[in-house]
Amino acid sequence: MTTFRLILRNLLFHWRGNLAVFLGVVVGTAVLTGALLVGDSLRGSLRDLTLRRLGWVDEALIAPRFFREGLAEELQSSQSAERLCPAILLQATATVKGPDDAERSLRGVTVMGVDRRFFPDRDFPAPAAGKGSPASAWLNSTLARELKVYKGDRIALRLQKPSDVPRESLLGRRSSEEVVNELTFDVANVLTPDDPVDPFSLRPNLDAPRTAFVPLDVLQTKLNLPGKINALLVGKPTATLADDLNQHLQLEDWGLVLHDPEERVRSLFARLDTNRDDQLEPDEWRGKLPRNLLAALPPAPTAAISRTALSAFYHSQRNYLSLESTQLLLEQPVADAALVAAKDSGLRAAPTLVYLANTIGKVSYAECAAGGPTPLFQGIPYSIVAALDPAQPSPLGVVRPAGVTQLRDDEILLADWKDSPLHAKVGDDVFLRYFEPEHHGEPREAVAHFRLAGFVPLAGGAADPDLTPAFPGVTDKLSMTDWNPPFPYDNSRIRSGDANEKYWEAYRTTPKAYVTLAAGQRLWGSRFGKLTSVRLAAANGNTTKAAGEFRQTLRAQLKPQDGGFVFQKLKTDALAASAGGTDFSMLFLSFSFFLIAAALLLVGLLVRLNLDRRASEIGLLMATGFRRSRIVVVLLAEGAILAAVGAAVGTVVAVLYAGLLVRFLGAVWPGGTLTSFLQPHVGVASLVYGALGSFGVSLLTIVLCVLLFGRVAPSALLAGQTTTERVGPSRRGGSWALWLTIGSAVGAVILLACSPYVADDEMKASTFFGSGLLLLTACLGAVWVWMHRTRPGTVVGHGWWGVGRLGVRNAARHPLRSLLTCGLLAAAAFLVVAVEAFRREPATAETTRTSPSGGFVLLAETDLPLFQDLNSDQGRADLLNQLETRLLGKLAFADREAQRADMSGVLGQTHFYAFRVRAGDDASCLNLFQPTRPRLLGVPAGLLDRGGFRFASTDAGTPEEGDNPWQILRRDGAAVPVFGEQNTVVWMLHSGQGKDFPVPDEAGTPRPLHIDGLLQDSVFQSGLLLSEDHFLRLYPNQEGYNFFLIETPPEQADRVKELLEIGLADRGVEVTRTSDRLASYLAVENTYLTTFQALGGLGLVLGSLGLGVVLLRGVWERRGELALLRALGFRRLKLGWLVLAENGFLLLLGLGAGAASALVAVAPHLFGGGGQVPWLQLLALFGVVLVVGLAAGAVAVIGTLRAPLIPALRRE
Amino acid sequence: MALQVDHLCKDYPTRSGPLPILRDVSLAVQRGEAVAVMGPSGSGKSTLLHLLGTLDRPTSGTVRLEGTDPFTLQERFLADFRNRHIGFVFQDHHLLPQCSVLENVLIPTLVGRDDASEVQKRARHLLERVGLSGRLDHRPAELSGGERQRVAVARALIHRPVLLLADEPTGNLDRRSARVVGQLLLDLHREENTILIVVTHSQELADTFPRTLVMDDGSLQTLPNPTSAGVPAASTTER
Repeated sequence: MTTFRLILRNLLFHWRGNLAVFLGVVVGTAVLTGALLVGDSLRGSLRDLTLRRLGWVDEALIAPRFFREGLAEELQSSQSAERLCPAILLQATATVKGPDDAERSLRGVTVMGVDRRFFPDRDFPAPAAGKGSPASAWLNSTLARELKVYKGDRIALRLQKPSDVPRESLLGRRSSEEVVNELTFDVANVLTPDDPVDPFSLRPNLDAPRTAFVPLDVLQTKLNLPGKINALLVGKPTATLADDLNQHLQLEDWGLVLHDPEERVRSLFARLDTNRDDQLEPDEWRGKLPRNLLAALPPAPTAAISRTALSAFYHSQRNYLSLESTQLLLEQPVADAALVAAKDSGLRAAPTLVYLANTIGKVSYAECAAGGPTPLFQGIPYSIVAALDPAQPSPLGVVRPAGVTQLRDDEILLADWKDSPLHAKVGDDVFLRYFEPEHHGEPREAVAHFRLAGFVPLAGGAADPDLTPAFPGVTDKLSMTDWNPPFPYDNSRIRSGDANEKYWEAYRTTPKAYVTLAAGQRLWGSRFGKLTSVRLAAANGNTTKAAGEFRQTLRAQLKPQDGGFVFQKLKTDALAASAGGTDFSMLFLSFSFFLIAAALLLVGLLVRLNLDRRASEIGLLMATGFRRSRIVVVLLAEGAILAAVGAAVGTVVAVLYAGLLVRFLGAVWPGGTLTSFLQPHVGVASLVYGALGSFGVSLLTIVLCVLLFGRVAPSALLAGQTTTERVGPSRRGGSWALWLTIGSAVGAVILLACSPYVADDEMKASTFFGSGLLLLTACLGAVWVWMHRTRPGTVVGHGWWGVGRLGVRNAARHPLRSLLTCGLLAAAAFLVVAVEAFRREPATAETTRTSPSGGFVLLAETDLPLFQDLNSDQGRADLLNQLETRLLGKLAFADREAQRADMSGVLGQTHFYAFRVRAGDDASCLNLFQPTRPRLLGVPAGLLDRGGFRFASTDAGTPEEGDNPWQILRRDGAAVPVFGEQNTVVWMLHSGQGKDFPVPDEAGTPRPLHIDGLLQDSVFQSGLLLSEDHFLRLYPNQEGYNFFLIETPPEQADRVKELLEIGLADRGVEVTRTSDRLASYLAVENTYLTTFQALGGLGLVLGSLGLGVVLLRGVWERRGELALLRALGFRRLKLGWLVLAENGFLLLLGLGAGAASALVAVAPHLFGGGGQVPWLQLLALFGVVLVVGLAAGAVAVIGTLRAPLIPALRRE
Repeated sequence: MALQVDHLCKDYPTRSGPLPILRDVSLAVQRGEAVAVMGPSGSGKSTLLHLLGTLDRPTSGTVRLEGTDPFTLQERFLADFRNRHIGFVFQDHHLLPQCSVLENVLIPTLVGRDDASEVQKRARHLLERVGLSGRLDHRPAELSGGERQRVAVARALIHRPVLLLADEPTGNLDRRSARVVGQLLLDLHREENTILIVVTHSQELADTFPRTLVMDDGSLQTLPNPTSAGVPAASTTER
């Protein structure tokens, strides 16, 4: 006989009790490990999704500009990566015409222009169906399914036309037809869902991607971008990839052009020498070259112009280099790099900015005094003005007029043009009317006044049309009347043969006025740049050599990241993000808290019950000389074996349980987005941690039970007693409980009484919650006091009532035991009710400014940015025109006009707030990935002034900010002030009020955003909000507006929605009711609540089983008593009632105390209309708990009452 | 004196104050002496036995066994003391149902460091002595009441205790079995030279003891025992 053998014998002999403990440990382990496995499953599923979406792509360069496709070959030949694929990636809206000619649209489509390098083993692209047929496209299954198209159908893809020139600059083209490109493709193939390319997406998220794969060369042709791409996809890159990229980047990739005299000649010949005979015949140059150039060619040409002559002209008259951008404006980092490179190359640099003045006018002082500006006929229309340093020596400067040594910023020089209609004289006040360099909607005119400092002869550097970069539609026109600029242009101001037209013929884009660079940049500098060119002169005049050197130096100076040439580590970042925004392991662990606690309580109670049953055995061991410690070791060893085996089996059960939870989560998740990818994943670490954790806590519970077995005398143990009966008066225990009860009750009443006077909502909620908790404490304290009362009332009566009362009295026999189970039930009921009260439905009627909707009924989002101002007459007219076009042929003219007028009235009551959007990760709870670069919204000034929305907290420092917290976003400082939705900031971004959150700016430099306010339940869950001004400072090249809040009377909402969906169809618009958006967010919140409630409810049920065990233990202890009652003539039914009364009383006490306290705690929330408590569900849950508890009690009673009478009687 | 009890008192607390169970009990018993303790229910017989067996602690007074007051020992030494020097036989045999007859006898040896073969040998010897050598591997459930009690007697003697205590050892047995167990106790006590103290309601059993004490309301009295065949050397103090 050995101790180990004894332990094994004990385990086997007491198998029933041990099995119960084992099952308890299994449940605890399954729940604990299952929670961890849910986290594994989510992370694993997101990881799988990420890997499926990215496929072979590890990194990608997605530039904000188009660059050479050749770069891909160059990098491939440098062996910078195992696989490199050039691509054009664009967002689009797909449309298809149905049989009834009705158009079906689908937004959020990614158009991927790729070639065989993307589909190496497939027949891509498929040849066009026939001559004249559109090119073919492959669609992924999601796009085809949602658009309801099949192989052979024809679809149109509406995407944004690429534009070198910023659309929000003066020369940017913004009208719909110039922004939207509609490309038609035949569907040659629809990928199957199991095709590895089908889910391809560079930005993994939960929504299945909608992708159209089109041939790269076709897309390049259709976009008029031959040989250009905007993305490079890379698989298995080498460590030198970034360096190799830097080595191979050309100025062309940056959209830069370096003009030198030879290049200008080449360019002219390329454009004009149509017969390619290396000379320009009169019919080739006549009318196409400015007259002053022809005049300057020695001798003045009458016949052909040779390349040599032209070259000689440029080398003598314009012997400088000029760095220009296809964007027209040099981006600031490029301009800075160019100036540094010029210095390093020993070149003299002349930063230059040219702009168009709508009018150069003269103000007579008399008229000024009268307050009116100079009439137009006294001005010069549409003139180029150059801002430069006129003092620069030739060839970069202009000849200064006599007496002008230094041009001041408020002075202007005019070209000495004898036909000038201005008739100005030195000292005159000359004004420039011009369009502001940046604008939203219609361009706005501004005026600047200068003092005329003198006249510059139209010769040398002042007769140089090359100061102005080429701009198609303007600089290539032979007549000013033919100009086709993107801004409002009145060609009636130019008359054929007038002085202006003659100037154009002679000098073309030669400036008519000069101001200082500082003055020009102040007026016309913008976020897109402050220079149109950097001109450079070599000291030795050798511009050809200088060009080569400068090119090299500039390439070295340019930082790829400034141009967006950065390979993003997509796979690494996405895999990191797949760790999830929310730690689901911890979330489910906390959801399962009560379940785990109940399982442990059950384990503890079962262990204790087993010990009770084995009391005499333990007493015998003590009687034979076993030390208590030795007995404890034996019992703990038994417990440890049970815990270990239970944990091992529980771990297996956990895998099944986690599978169920994953299915449950997939089923209840709003929109069912999880079902498509969420699969159970089993992490070894979770299994080990779960098993060890469960083993540990189970063993701890067993240790506590064994140690708490107390110091019962062996003689008592031998007699089957496991507790020392309290025989003496013990007022002490009851007394502190009494005071605690009274104190808690008084505290609860005081808090309730004070709550109406608490102004702050959060404090008010805390007051109620505190009073609820105090009430719960008071209830449990009262129970304790009741159980400890020294003079209990006499149980009188007879029959069921009397027996029932006796049963209730029995509940007080073991106060601690009863209070523990009752307390657990009460706490669980408290949480279940309190949490359930926070289940919310969106308040559709809540449209006040301080509501979560901010008073906005609708919000709209577009795929393609909008450049027009929907609040302007022009913007509204565009919308109505689109509507009218749609109604064409469907309604008679009169009806159309009536509808237009009606809609115009609706728009009159509607105001739009347009937000700029920096695309990023969806930071709302709808996204399960960890957002690292949240979407940023640039809040328009109008909304900052208007205010609105509900704030959870703000950093308001002034009364103005207190009144309208949106003013905070206007603050200037090192960190950019931002707002975020409270849940987003706390749970998704893991940040908080007053904390910094870094985001990369346009150049990829991390910039801190300071969270100065938290919105409560707003529609802005998906990102962070900053003022438009700050937004543009961070992302100067971000153009247009993609997000709109719409203020309109609620009854007009549907009509506005319809109008926008028609008017902005080509931009891929989606108009949503703010209440629907809020509901989608609340749905996720409610899903979490549902899960919590499901697991909490399960915990309650398990807790009620625990109560059953407590009862069983009590019955076991009183089996002699019960036998006696039977001997006295009590029927078994009555005895059953006696026990069930005790059980039911404790159950009701726990549930009642918990639920009542919780209702007090959430009272303000309920009365405030914030929550809709599903009373029926709660009642059903409590009903189940009651039934399970009573059933467990019934089992205990039946088991005990079945025991033979006599042996039980002998116990007495 | 092998067992010396002086002024032993035991009270239990109640709502209305301490309830005296034993009142100033003194007793001296020599090694090899057998004593029967009788008395009405509630008189304190079992309490006295539990105190002598160190299963419970006295309110006051001392117990010395072979010169050692076990209640001055720390808990762990007290357990060792009990293991080595005291043997118990209860009315309810308290055999471990999960263990065989032999294992039950060996249970007390689990806490010692005795030579395994030695204790096995002794257990077998004792079981042979109590007439159960053929039932070594049987479980308690397979034995009759008398047999179970004989196993309990063997278990009590496994460590050659100085003091063998029996609480109503025949209380659950039929008359024949009771007689057998009673005689066995006396025989083994003699063979092992222990002090045997038996609490019993059975006058028949008490009559087989050379010395009988009567417990009444917490105090001890000596009864003359005409049929006593034991050693009359006991001195009894009555208070």
